[in-house]
Order: sequence, then structure tokens, then C-alpha cells
Amino acid sequence: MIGYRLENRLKQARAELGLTQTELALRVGVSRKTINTVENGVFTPSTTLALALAAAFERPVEALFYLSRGEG
Amino acid sequence: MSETEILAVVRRFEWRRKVGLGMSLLGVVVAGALAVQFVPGDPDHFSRTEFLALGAAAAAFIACGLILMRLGRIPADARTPRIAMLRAERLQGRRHIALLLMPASLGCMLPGAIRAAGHVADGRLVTHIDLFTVAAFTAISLLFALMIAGRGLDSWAKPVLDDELSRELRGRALAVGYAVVLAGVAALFVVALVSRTLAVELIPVVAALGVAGPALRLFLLERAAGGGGEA
Repeated sequence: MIGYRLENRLKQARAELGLTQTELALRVGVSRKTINTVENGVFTPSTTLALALAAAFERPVEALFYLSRGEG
Repeated sequence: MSETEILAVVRRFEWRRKVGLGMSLLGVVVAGALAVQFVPGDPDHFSRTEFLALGAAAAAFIACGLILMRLGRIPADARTPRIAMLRAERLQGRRHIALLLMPASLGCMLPGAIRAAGHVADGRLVTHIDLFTVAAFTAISLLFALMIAGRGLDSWAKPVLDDELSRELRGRALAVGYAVVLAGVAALFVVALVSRTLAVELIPVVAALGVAGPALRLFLLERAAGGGGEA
């Protein structure tokens, strides 16, 4: 969508639970690189992955991902 | 068994498997060299003794390779998701080296493939060496393309090497190959208007670029995606 950018609070959520990127990757079943690129906003996850990440944190997906006005 | 010990056992197992695979492939190459002898045309053939000796060598290489690949088992502890991830990340490092070596190996084979294509274009006699060179070049190009496309990955490595990010990066890399081949074929049409021989000789170059381009692109994309982060 033009004008929107997907942001996330993955790093904060991970820090709250004391999880490393590897541990989160193992929970979700993806590579550590994927977690790293999603956290840094380099890679936009699919709906499936976003929901899987939310499930891993036992939070609604909106608590992890949100839209901001920017160069989306 | 500690994590380090498990990884050491796995490393030994993988090394044995790699040597076995190498031997089997060598056997297949020798068998391929013998198989092209049956193609009619070229009057030069291996002698009966050479044929038998090479046939025995090919069979021995393939048999020894298969035995080495089957020897030993990975410990059950190595099948845990964490160890599988560590193994897969190590494998990914080796795949990066392979991606860099692909253009180099195709480049080494290219002169032979161009020479063989030139013989066809000129209507000269196609020798057994030409046939073998073209068959090897085609088989290796296809093998590389399949490796870039992520085919044949072990199931334990898929969470790392075939996850969402990897698939996206592979898709972007393969799109480069598609563009290169499309542009190359269009260029071949134009070249063919001027020189048919040159157009035929350039076919292997287009094929090699169609594989080497995605390999390098995938290497760069994966390296860019891998920067930073924490364990």
C-alpha cells in the first residue's frame, strides 16, 4: 500500500521474554537470518509468518506489527 | 553427549558422505565418457582394454562412493531442532562458497563447449570429446540451476535454507537469470542475422550467464541479508 510502512516491536517483545534470535527462530521454524531481517525491517514477512511470530509470543499480531506513514 | 561432541560426530559423518558423493560423481563422469563412445560418427574409439579398464574404474568409484555415503549414522541427538539449525547454518556457509565457484567452473568449461558448438555450426565432424564436453556442460549447468533453486535440500535443513526469506531471495536471483537468458536469446537472433556460426557458438555463453548471474546475485543477496544480528 502506497504511503505505509510495516514496523514491528519484535526486538522489544523478544527482550521482554529474554529470547535470542536463534531461540525465536527455533520456535517459529525459520532461520535466524529471517528473524534478523524482519526485526530490522529489511524483510516484510508474509501473513503466515507474522501470525506465527505473534503465536510464538502469545500476543495478537497487532501488538507486534503496525503500519506507519512513510515510504512504504 | 555435549553439543560440541555431537557436532564433531556429525562433521565426520558429513565429511565421509561428501567424499562418497565425490567418488560417485567421478565414477559417473568416467561412465559418461564411455557412454559417448557408443554414439556413431567419430571413427576414433577407445580400445577394448581402455574400455574395460575405464568401465571397471567407473564401477569401482560408484560402488565405493555409495558405500561411503551409506556408512555410519547421525546420532539421534543431532536431530534436535537446535543442532539441525546449527548444521544448516554451517551448510549455508558452504553453499555461499559453492555459489561463488559456480561461475568459475562454468567459465572453465566454456571454451570446450564453444569449440563443440563451433564444430556443429560449421558442419564439421562432432567428436566424442565434443559430445562429452557438451553433455558435461549441460548436466553441470542444470545441476547448478537446481542448486540455486533450492532443490534436493535435506528436510532437516529446510527451516534454514528453505524458509520464507530464502525463497524470496532465490526468487529474486532466479529472476535475474530469466532476464539474462531472455536478453541473451534475443541477442542471439540478431547475431544469427549476421553470422550463424557465431550465434551457435554463443549459445553456451548465454546458458552459462543464465546460471552464473543468479548464482552471484543470490550470493550477494544472502550476504546482505546475513549481516548483523545476534546468535
